[in-house]
Amino acid sequence: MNLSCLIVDDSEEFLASAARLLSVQGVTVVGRTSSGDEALRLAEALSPDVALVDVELGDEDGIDLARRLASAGSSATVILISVRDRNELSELMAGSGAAGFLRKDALDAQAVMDLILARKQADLGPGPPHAG
Amino acid sequence: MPVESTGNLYQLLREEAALRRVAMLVAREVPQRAVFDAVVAEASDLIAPARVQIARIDDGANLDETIARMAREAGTDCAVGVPIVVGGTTWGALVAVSPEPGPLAAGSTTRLGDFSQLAASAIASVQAREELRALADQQGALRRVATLVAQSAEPRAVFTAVAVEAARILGVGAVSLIRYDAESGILTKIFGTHGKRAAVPDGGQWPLEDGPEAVPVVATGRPARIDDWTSLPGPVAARHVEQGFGQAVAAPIIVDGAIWGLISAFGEANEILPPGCEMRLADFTHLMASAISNAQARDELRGLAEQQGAALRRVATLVAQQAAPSTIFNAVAGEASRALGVSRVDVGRCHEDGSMALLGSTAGLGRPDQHAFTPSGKCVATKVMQTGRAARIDNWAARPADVQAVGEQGFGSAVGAPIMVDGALWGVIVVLADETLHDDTETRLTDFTHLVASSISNVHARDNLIASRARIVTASDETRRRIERNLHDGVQQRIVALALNLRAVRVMSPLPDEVQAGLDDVARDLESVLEEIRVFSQGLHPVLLARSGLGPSLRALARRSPIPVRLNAAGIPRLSEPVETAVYYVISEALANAAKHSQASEVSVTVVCDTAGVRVTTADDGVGGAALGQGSGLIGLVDRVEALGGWFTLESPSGHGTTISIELPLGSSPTDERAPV
Repeated sequence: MNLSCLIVDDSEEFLASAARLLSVQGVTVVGRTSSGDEALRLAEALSPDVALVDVELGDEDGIDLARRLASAGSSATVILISVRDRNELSELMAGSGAAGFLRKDALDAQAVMDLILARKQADLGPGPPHAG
Repeated sequence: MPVESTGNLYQLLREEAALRRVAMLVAREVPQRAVFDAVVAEASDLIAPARVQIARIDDGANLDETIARMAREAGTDCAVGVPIVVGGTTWGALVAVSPEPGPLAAGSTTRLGDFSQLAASAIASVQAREELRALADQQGALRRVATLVAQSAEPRAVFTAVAVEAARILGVGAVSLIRYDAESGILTKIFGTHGKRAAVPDGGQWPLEDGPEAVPVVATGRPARIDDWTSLPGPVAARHVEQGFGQAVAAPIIVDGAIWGLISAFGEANEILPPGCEMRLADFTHLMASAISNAQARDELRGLAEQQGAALRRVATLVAQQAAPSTIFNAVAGEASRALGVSRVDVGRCHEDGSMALLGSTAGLGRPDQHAFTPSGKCVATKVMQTGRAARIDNWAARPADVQAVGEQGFGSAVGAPIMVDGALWGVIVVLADETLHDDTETRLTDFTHLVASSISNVHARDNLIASRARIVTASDETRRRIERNLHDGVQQRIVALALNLRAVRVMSPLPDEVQAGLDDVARDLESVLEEIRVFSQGLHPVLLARSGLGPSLRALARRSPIPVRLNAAGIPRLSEPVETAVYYVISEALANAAKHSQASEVSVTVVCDTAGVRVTTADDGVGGAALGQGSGLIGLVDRVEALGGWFTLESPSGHGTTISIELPLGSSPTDERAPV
């Protein structure tokens, strides 16, 4: 796999450690930023396969950014991330259009890959029955 | 992973665990002493062998001097300190002192900073609670004395109550009731609470010039304070100092417009009486004056006086019941008009810019454009405002300017008496008649002005109380939000970064099995710490509420509730933050209690919002028997709801489930609907 990834988070520490982990696991981190506007710019310029977006971006709203990425026509699969549990956030994330959610401490290239594949399959629909 | 990084990691975990333990104490509002002991113990433990102390910094001292002093006292030359800042001022400092030469461990200052913030939160919380308790006490005290006046108790009984309450509220044990005879200039001690220690025995007399606290009171007609008796002349002052008394405050009792006497309160020799004591004493002297003039009215002019006495008692009852000001203003106008035999009485507010507003009247307030004094009333009220004393206008011919203003609708005779609150002119009662008003009108009006003044003081105290409670609830929520924010932005991010770094290291280097196993342990520890912090953090502050409002937050509460919830909360708009927070916590607590105790099969939650306010009802079909207190967490909800001017009811008959209902007004200030005071 050679996924390209954009990370959007307001914690410098997380950006550094997430980038490091994903890189050693074979993902190319093409950009990191704390700003929503910068994220849109990078997404358009670099067309990453996936964008990891923190639900709480300091003063900005990650859910809102997820929607803006979709409506800007970005091809990136958006995965929402947070230190909080999905349990606390499901009502907030509904309607964001994101492909899924990962708790930050569960970040792992394989988990990201699984979510991307699941979204692509969902997009393609049930499809014809497989032989065998 | 290199050994030293593992060491750092464990140090970081210990530090965050220590902060978390202290944060929980602060959030549970344990006594300040306990928080301080915890801060000192935890912080000292972390930076051992250095020790941590908390130092109070008085005005004038500064942080560096304090740190240097503490280093000297510990016999070392190495100390580091961070300020504890409460309400924008430096309250004190957290100082770390090292017994060994050389600098303290790196990062000590940052760690101390985190602890100092928690200490500051605890202090602010305690200060707010103390302010609230003091106001509630004062409120209760005034109400008790007003009730005695309303019941027409003898002045001595009223004074005993005043002495007891003054002792509690002002914190002084020695209170005296003193009579002053203006003609002879003699003071007579009627009654004192301090027995043999008194400078003058009950019944004793002394001239005014020998009474240091009486002199300014008689001269100005206002409360006064004497701080230092040691260089004052006369035998009374000498005995005062001999008996070990110190500062004194005194307030006048004004009956029929003249100084009848005073109430003095004395502190011990080394005691400081806080500022504002004399004003609070004055609240009581108003009521004392009413009691005395009630008694005098009874004794002197039976028939007419009884009528007036009864009228005063009816108004005093309203005051004691804390009726709304508008009710009292109209009652005063009505009772005064009957007692004095006149048709028109107005009660009004006077502002510093000279403007006046009508608050109560025998003429009824009618349409808003009728909320004005009559021209005659305005003339006499202006005179009262200028002189600060009762005034009368009978001879309009002598006042051509006024006659012009008044025109032909003027009344023939007008009398006004000032309403004094906290030593300043607050308003006026005006009496109007076509025929010349009787000579004693001014003095008889004064009784009514006392009662209005008491009622206003009550309202001020009550408003302060509500505002204080609201402030405490808000401050407590602020603290919880701040702790939650700090945990989220600080601790949680750092531990997550550590976990990811750990995972990265394991990918990068092939490691011997024992090291691998050790790292697995660390990874598990990190996960479990993160989980603990997540659970703790979620209970502190609902992050969804501020972002998305009640709809999504209540749905989340319903989803997470172990007992199924039937939620009816459609179409609730965004409301003010305190109201949304109150609604959220009421429902959250009701669901938590139901889960813990009720054994119910279902809880229904209904939220309805209209222009009047928002009403919340939670009802379960469980075993009932819930009560405020007893660890149910419901008493905190009552505070929250009442602080916003709402009401709270709990019905939980045994065997019949538990129903909680609250109603909250939507205005941001709970005193929005009051009469202007």
